[in-house]
Amino acid sequence: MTQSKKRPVNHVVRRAGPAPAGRDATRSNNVPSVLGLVAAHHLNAIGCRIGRVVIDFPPMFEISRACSTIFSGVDRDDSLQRRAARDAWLVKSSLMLTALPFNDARLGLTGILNNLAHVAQSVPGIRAAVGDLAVLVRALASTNVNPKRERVLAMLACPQVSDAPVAILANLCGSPTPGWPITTEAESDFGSSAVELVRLRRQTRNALFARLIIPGNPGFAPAGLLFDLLYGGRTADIVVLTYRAERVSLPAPKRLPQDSYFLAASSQSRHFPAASEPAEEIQLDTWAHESFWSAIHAHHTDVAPTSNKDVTVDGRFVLFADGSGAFLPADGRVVEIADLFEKGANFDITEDKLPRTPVRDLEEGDLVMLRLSGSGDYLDDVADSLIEKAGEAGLRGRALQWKDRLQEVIKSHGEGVVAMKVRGLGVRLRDPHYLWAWAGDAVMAPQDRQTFYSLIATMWQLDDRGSGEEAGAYADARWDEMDRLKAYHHKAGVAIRAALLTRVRGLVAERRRIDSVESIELPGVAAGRMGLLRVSAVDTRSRQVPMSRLFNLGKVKVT
Amino acid sequence: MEEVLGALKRDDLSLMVDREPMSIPPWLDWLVWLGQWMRAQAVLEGRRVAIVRLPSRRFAAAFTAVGAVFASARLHDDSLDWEGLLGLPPGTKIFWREFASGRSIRWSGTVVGLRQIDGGDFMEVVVEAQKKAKQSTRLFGKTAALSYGLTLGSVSTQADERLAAAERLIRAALTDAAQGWMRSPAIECSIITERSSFLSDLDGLAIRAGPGAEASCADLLVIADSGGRSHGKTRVTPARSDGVLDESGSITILDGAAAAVRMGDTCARSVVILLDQSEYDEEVEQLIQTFLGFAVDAHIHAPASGMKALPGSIEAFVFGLPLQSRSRI
Repeated sequence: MTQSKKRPVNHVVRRAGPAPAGRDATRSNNVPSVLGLVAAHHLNAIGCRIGRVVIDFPPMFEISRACSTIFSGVDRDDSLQRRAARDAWLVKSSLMLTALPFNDARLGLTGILNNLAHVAQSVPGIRAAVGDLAVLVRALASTNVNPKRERVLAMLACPQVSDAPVAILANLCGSPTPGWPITTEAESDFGSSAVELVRLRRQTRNALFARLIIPGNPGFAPAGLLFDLLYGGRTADIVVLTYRAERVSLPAPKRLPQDSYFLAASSQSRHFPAASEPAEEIQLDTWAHESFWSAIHAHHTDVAPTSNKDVTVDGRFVLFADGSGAFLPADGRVVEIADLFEKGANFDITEDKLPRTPVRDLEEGDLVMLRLSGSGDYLDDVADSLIEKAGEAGLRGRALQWKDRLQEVIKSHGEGVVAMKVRGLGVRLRDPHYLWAWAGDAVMAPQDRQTFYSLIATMWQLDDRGSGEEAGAYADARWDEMDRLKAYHHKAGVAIRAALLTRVRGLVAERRRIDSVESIELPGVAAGRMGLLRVSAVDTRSRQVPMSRLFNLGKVKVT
Repeated sequence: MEEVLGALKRDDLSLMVDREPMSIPPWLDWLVWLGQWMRAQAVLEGRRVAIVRLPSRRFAAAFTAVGAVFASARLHDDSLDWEGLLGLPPGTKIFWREFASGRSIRWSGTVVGLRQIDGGDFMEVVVEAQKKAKQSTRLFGKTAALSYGLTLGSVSTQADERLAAAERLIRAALTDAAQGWMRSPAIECSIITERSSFLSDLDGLAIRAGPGAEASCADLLVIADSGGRSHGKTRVTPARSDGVLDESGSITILDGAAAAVRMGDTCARSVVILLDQSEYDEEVEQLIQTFLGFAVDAHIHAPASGMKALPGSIEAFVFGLPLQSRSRI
């Protein structure tokens, strides 16, 4: 076993020093303002230097080689062998990425090696590689010298140019990162309270770091988090710490198109450690990352629309800490109350909206409210219950009956003809396909009464249903009903929000901690139990699913 | 164009952050310039879109809008206000304030229509009865109407004081500020963003022009309330709103990726898209490429004095569009 050899940091982009931690020179106190913080982000972004420290440690080559042999020796269409491929990746990644001692039980290496040995009994092709891997891992654990840990501790011991904390990126793979168990803590594991383990994007919003240590290839880290850290000026000093056996690829932002007006400044180039060429190791990493989500998607291949109105939308799969998951609307928003819950925040109850977060911005640790049983949006159910109590049963059906007629008209005449007629009545409709959004459940109605009149008039014309006056009266009646329906939706939102806040305040007062899921009962949601669910991972890609599949919670089994 | 950009006394501007002075950093100064330039182009031929990528989007929308405010105040033509008032349909409710007994009193009324007396145009308004007073009719001539600052949304006493502070700042910041812009009826700028975080960032932030004039950033933007009940020049709208995002206004700022993908739902002559480093992704790129397919270079009106150099932390590009490239539906 060879000790690590010290290599000079290859600083590529240089600036005189980091931005003062959010303090303007003319400000007399030491509290950085938000504007001061953002100004520091801009300064750091201009002069950020990214260096790479390479550790020569031959055992990592051997580990990598053994894992690649296992990966290429298994049949990944077989679930047992696919599990072995994933275990090989886990062993390799845990050892390469971790800054904990190699014998730390939290890495779970013994259990993974036992699993591999079990599979190897029935797959002779990997038996030797699994044996070699076990020997290598045990040797590393017994000597217990982790060169990456030593280098991290040495960096933390160096005096920093500012009193801001040093950040270590502990989310290198998007989903829980091998080698960085969730129980890893800055103070107890690295002996310093001036260290922040960064896993979530929300940790970077108001952050300024003296230095960022990236302890491995961050190629699969969430883009928002990684780009904030690399290019968002959260620090002026970034060190990528890797073994020579580790391939490193720092993603760069897409190039903006160029014009003749801002050409000079836009063309400023950024030089970072170059992306490595493809290799088998990259193939293993890519497979491990993608197979995780493709295995989940495989359980949802049977999703078929439930009706003609069940339009197809972009859904993003969210995995929760209790092992359940659901597709959420990729461009939609969900109720998310992590801040409210954790800080016991003094929430402004005069605001008439629920605290919502775009699904695309969800990340690990967020606390999302969803229904635990039943399907669809709970808002509709609560609104329907209010409608019934008010003696207006059937309002939703009456208000939206025109959608069935619109579907019939589109089907019998074609969307092109309908769009032409609607445009002829002065409606701006760029894409005829948008008619399907009106005919489906995605949008309740056109944005204004006049557009709705024109749409109904077109339906009447094409359907030969009667006079324009009848169409006008019909449109008036439906529009008024939809107005009432929207009012019930609004009331439902207010009621849910009030009940949710009351319940959350109760949980905060009880000092209840939600690790995975907390079932809550809200008045008016008789059709399904509500729950607060802790987000575990979010798929970075969206997928086309019928609208009826959104919000449907189901158990997830990943092999 | 040169007059609009040159009217701002940039060297006299500074910031107050929680009552502490702070000089304007170069990136904020550039965003103010961008807002001025894009707003100044909004009265010229065609449409145009500027895409700006920054390390952080925070404050970028606000200061681009501040630039647009300065440009609007310089460009303002109050004869258009008068035409606008005369064009109000009968039944429109309007608001104004008058000084009486040393205090400013709020009035409201309903437009009856245009009346001509001795060849002069007057706007006839039925004044809403206050307390014991009887309902009355009022005739506003052009000068009176503009000096009262008739607005379509109500202006409370506090709002009136804030408008006055913002007007003082604009007069101090510009070499030739037009009168009455602050109280003129039209929305000038739409910001598509998360309202609560946008406003909370502006807490405690004020702009100073020279030694005496100071107004909070939010007051300078004259932000309309979300229900549209009070007077405002800047509308802050969430990206999830249905339909067209900016029915009125010369400039629209799309703050973030969720807003950027609604580009097809904008009408304004000038659009600024603000993105952080991760937000110019495949979806946004594809959308921009679609619009670039019918780009019109002639609709970019560069200042004769040249473009303001980009600060090192900002990347930007701009392209023109035909007027027909408006909203998707």
